[in-house]
Amino acid sequence: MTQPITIDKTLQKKLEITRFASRYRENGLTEVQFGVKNKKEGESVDFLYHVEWFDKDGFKIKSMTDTFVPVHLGPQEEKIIDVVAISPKAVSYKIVISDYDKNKERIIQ
Amino acid sequence: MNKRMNRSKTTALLLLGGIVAFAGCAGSQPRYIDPQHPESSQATTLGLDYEDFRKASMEAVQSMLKSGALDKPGGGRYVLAISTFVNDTTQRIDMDQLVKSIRIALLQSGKVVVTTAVRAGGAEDTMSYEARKLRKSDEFNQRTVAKKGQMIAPDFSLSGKIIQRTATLPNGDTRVDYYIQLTLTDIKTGLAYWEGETVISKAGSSKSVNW
Repeated sequence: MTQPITIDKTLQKKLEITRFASRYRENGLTEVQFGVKNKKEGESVDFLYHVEWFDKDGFKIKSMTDTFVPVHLGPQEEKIIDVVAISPKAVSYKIVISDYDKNKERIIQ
Repeated sequence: MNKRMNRSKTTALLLLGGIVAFAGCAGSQPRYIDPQHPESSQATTLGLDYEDFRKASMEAVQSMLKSGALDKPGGGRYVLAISTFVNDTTQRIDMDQLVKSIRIALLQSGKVVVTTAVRAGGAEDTMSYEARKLRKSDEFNQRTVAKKGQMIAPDFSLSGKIIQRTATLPNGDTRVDYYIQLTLTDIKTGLAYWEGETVISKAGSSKSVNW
């Protein structure tokens, strides 16, 4: 399965997607889990991630809790990020990983 | 003419002095601090703001949905009542701002419907009761008036508390930790089926305004 993850160009040399999984939970909500690792040895990386959810017709589902989440990774550090869909109508998704400094104003949408 | 110029220069100097003094008072820019990575910095205020509530709401809703506490056997929705939310900080906080985004997200999840007829301290929307006073009115078609026994009692209640802890850092900056705690209680048994805590830590100059 192709990973629906978009990483900002400036971060592609710094970050690595180490794992990716998705499942349809018994409670009717889709769940995605992915691992991100900082490839740099002597440098920390700050980034934002956001999961966009889409219904069966491809329309984006908006939510009050839609937000870009800031993440800090120390040198060589890896974090597993787990997100559950905000609605049972969400059947597909896109994970966006953005540069923190370029997009910090997007934390508040 | 010279007098007027001197007065203008004096005014300009006073203004400049004021700006310099104000900038001096502002101190270092407040920033978020990650307890595991204290060196990380993200510009913000020392007080709780809209984005903090969004973060807390998102974490709470994600945690509740993942826990399965809101998965009703056989499907359907639970009825949720909003209980007390205590503000134990030095800030004046509109707790409804925090609660509302949680309510909206939970409603969207299809797991919960919130009652506005029952709330700690009185009904949130008193119209449910007001409309029932029309039962004896000849002016209203009685078939359109809510009958007795139609309201649905809540299954769960959501309560919360925000706690603030303030400390002075070795460099003179102030560190403020906010603990946003939420509890989901099964009303029939009184047992807490889910509990969550979001910690928001910030640091900045003690001279910067945070409340």
